[in-house]
Amino acid sequence: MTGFAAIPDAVRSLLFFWSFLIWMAGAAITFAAIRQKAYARTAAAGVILVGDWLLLQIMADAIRGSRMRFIIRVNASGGSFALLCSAALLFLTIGCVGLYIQNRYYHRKFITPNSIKEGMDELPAGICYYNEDGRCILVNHRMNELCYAITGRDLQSGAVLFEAVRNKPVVVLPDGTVSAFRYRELLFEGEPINELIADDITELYYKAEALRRDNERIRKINESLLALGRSIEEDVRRREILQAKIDIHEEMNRLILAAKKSLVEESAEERRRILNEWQKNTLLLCREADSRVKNNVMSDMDSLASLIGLELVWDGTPDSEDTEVLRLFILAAREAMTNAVKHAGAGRLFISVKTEEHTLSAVFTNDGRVPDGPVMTTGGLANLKRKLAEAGGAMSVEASPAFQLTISIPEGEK
Amino acid sequence: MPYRVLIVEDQEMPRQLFEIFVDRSAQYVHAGSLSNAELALDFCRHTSVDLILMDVITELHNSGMDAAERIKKEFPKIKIIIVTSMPEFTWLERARRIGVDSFWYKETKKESILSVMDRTMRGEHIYPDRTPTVQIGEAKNHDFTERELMVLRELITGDSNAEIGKRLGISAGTVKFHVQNLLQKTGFHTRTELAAVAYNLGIVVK
Repeated sequence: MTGFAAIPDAVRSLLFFWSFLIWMAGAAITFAAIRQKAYARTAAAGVILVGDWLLLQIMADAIRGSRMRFIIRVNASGGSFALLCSAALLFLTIGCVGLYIQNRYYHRKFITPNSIKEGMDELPAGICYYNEDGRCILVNHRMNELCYAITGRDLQSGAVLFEAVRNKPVVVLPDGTVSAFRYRELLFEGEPINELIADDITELYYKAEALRRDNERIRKINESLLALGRSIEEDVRRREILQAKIDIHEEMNRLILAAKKSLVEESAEERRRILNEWQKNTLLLCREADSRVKNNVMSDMDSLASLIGLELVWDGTPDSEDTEVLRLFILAAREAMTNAVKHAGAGRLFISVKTEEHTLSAVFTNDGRVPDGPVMTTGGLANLKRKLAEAGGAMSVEASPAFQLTISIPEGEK
Repeated sequence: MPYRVLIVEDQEMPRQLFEIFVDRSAQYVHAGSLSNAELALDFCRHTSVDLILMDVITELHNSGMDAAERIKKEFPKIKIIIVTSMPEFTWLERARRIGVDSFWYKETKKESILSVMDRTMRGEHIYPDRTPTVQIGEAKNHDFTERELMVLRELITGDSNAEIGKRLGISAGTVKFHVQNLLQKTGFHTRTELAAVAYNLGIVVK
């Protein structure tokens, strides 16, 4: 056996180092195979370990030149012994590589607790399962990061983290990411388990923010459009008045010419007619347009009343900024006018109207016959009552001592 | 026998101006004036009326066009002349459809109201060829297509393209296309500016 001792040191060292590497790899593969509960692979890795250990012993014996302590005694010259050892090492190396590949294959193909953990660590969402004491059973990287960002500490207790986010379903972190937390209780093998999930809603959150800002902008635009819409009629009104003024001035020009002519030659009657027209035009230009709406409402009512032989006696004016209030007032007045003529044969309708604390109230009475009995609120009166109620107003009818219709209409929020 | 004329106009000055014209003419007698179109039908039921001068937007936002339609149904013999200063293009069409006899723009210098009244009472139908020309931005109202005017009218509600499209029965993309054309024609930068000016000028009324 002196032959082996005679071969160069470098070759011997290489063989020992090679053998040592195989032993380390065999140990790692054995350990992994045990964890994967792959018994056949464990046994195979064990055989490699034992084989490698025996080869080491043989090579050591050869150097010392002593007899083989255990099983094998090799008779060979130094060169062929080195070759034999190399062949054995190569065989063991191939075995190791084969087992390593199988381990990797298993790792990829089968789900293990580790692969679950690794998979969860890859998720953008934070996950934490903890038991009733708050002890964490499964936590991923993202949840650890979130916990540190929110509480300033590492995630030790799921319950502590839950308390920190309980009233903050959406958390904006200093790095700009946004997470939404959801919690539920589960039963796992009869044991209660708490689940805390933090979904990454960064994109959704910022898009929702942008949408909210856009909506707010649109709401403001709409408001200004509405305000504009309300002022349009006023603009048109002013334009029409201006046009009318121009026309009236033209009319006055004509009158000046006519007046000049009449002073020279026309009859007294013609002069009176021209004077009359002068008065009309002048009055028209001097009249104020401030109380236009209420004057219009009253003059419309007067015109209609005169057609049915009724005189309206006003006490107060129907004054309201709210168009709907005035519409309802007109509805009530028409009803009162019809009833006064049809049922009471009245000649005059008394309208007492006032607006106080944003509510228009009116009382209608007439000088006609007093009703024989209670007045039924049917037909037009029932319709009026319903419309008033819809606008938040009220109506009451009294038959004695005389017919009296009382209404109140609140102005809208506008 | 002079024709009895009812004037429905909420503006005091134009109303009295019409009254002056009516009073001055031997052919007409002033039957009454109302500011609120909703009351016009009531008026016609209680007294005889031959001709109505009807404004479109009257007191308390009541539509003269709606009132005219109701009156024409109940009293087809009463002649109605719509008088307005708004160049809203659909009004002309609607007036024809509901059987209004004539249509007169208050600011027109072509023909006086008295002449239109005379011709209407002779059985003629006097309608302007088109709405008055109104400058909007770099365009005139007549430069727009009917479809663009429809979209423009909906724009003043401030609704989204999708909502406008739904109402007009076209896609949001088509609405966007029309809006872009309108912006291009007028030279305005935003739809809000376009809607506001169009509304203000009365080119479209919602």
